Amino acid sequence: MKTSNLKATPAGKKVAESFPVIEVSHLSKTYGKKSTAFKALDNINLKIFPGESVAIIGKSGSGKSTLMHLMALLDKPTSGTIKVLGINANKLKGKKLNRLRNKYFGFVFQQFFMNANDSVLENVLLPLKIGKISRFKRKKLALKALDIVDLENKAKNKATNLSGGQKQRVCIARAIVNNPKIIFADEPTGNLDSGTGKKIIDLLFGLNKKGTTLIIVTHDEDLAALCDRQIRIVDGEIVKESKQKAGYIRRTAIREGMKEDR
Amino acid sequence: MKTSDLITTANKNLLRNKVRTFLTILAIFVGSFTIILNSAINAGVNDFIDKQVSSIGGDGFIEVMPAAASEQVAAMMQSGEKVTEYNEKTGSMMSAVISDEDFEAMKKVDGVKNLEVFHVLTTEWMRLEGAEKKYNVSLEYFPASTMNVDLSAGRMTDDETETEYEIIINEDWLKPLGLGSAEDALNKTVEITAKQTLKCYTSSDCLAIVKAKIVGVQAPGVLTMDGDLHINRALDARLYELINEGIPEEQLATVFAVGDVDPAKIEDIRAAFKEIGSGYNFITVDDTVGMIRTFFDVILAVFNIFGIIALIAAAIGIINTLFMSVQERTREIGLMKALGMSRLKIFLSFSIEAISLGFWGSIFGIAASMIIGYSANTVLHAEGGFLSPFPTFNLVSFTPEVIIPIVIMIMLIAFIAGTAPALKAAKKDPIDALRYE
Ligand SMILES: Nc1ncnc2c1ncn2[C@@H]1O[C@H](COP(=O)(O)OP(=O)(O)O)[C@@H](O)[C@H]1O
Ligand SMILES: [Mg+2]
Repeated sequence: MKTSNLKATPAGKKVAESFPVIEVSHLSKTYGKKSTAFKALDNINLKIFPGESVAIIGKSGSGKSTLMHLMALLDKPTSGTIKVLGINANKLKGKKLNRLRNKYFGFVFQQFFMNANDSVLENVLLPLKIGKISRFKRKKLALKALDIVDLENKAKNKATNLSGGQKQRVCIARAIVNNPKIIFADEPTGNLDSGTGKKIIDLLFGLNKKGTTLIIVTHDEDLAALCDRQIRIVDGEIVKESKQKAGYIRRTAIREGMKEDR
Repeated sequence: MKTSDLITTANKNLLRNKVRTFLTILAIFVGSFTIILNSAINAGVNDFIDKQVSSIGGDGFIEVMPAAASEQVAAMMQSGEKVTEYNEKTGSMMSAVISDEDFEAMKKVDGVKNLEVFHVLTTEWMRLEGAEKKYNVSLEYFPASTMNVDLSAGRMTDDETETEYEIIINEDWLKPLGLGSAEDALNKTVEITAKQTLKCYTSSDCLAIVKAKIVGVQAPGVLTMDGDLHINRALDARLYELINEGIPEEQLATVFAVGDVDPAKIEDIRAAFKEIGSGYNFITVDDTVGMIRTFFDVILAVFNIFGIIALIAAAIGIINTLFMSVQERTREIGLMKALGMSRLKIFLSFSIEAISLGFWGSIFGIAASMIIGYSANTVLHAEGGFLSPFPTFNLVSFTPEVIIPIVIMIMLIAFIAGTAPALKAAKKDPIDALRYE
């Protein structure tokens, strides 16, 4: 891998040459025990650098989500190590681990995972509430995040009353409300039609352009192609890693195209 | 999450499934209502008994008599025998007196704060000063410090004064004396006659009149129905002096003493008194009213058992409700854990839901038992009501000392009931919770 000498890109994005935000070495994950044991990931090695956009691509069941969960410290590997922001995650426990996720990570899921009975605003400020941010400040930050996804006027609505695209935008607002270093998006467009999907993609790459590291899990080749890098997984192993420099150009093209759509 | 956020979130979650929450709270309500109302009645009854008790003397009040007297009475009462064996040591009931020497010895026993000779006063009649009609009267003096008379007007008698003669009448006397309300009676003067024993052997004109001021009016009660009126020390001394005028001091016998002792040392004092002279016994107020208390305690304990059974059922309701809630909110719990909420906070959020259920159940229980308790009290005290003869008897007493321990107990039961579901929630794996399919 020669990712360590990425240069400033034409889109004006600075990709630091410093140490990786996530560094995975010899990572394996086995589900179940003995006879039912199933090796979902086998000897994965990868580095993700600050400001990058990385696609984890593969067929359904190939182990993409498993890898993402491990990198996001939602799960423990069977073997191997994960370093996040220079910290060895194997040694992180309890309070520190929760704090790290709460302050530095943002999550977007295919199935949205919103609290249906709460208002849009309540859903967005949940990470801040968990992070003990004061009432006043979290409301301010949540409204700002909703403004970014263009849903400020829906703040008081119940989450159930939104369309799929709007729901995912709320989830993006929730993912960015804590101003995270890394956004993990698991099939963010999987439940959306291509039109609404585009808007979500546009939002995510907009954030990435501003410096947030973006890790997208997808089986959609077109979406993967928009990322700086594609990590392809087949049956729990990385088969090919490719840099797609054209990604920026294509992404810009899509964004321009969407403007015309409006 | 901050504690305040945990509490508001927990209560909001309870409102999500209103019917289920309502039914759970209803179950707790039934238990808390029963227990709180019961305890309030218990407190009210005990409060009243206490008032009554202190109107014949407080916890430390004792009436001392020679053992001969009390034992002979007890023997007759218990065995029903009319003829009892003569006891060389104690002598007979009729001759038994408290000697001056023994009286002093008893005063010195550790824990005895005050001991006074009880005077039997032979009074004839009493009337309002200037009035015509005379009424039979019987008076008695106990140190005011040993008593706490349940007054409907005025104050307690003063034992310090040597010149002011004071009396407390009870409400039954108001009408005969031609006085309107209890307030009207205050500071009125009554005339009391003492029958002068010696003079009466030779003359029929042997009644001495003493004037006394009414300083207080005693509320009616169950334990003070003997009708003896309470007077102060000065009046007692004056009447005793008049009654026994001309009789040599050494011929005056003491048959009773009354005193004030440290309630904590009662049993030691009892033992010590047995050893003095030919032995002395005393009775405390508790000896007298203990039976009444036990009676009420048993009744209320039975009702409390019903309340506790209801609470156990309610606790099962809480467990059930919360397990359902954890099940329904699996995904939400997973999300919150993914977003950095700790196991402890997840546990607490469900525990707080349980405690809130207990809290609201007991709040409604308090409200309902107050409404019903106070209404019943009003109804029973109304004209012709069951409790109308006892205006100072409050059927229920809702003091913080009664309510707070019960609320805490119910919240504790709710918390314990909530631990299993809360632990289940805390243990949920965010990955399992967030996995789709
Ligand atoms: N908890 C689990 N227990 C057993 N097998 C699992 C578990 N989670 C995932 N798997 C299996 O691991 C493989 C990879 O799953 P996943 O990472 O979700 O795939 P992807 O996201 O690429 O579709 C699949 O075959 C899946 O069935
Ligand atoms: Mg997946």
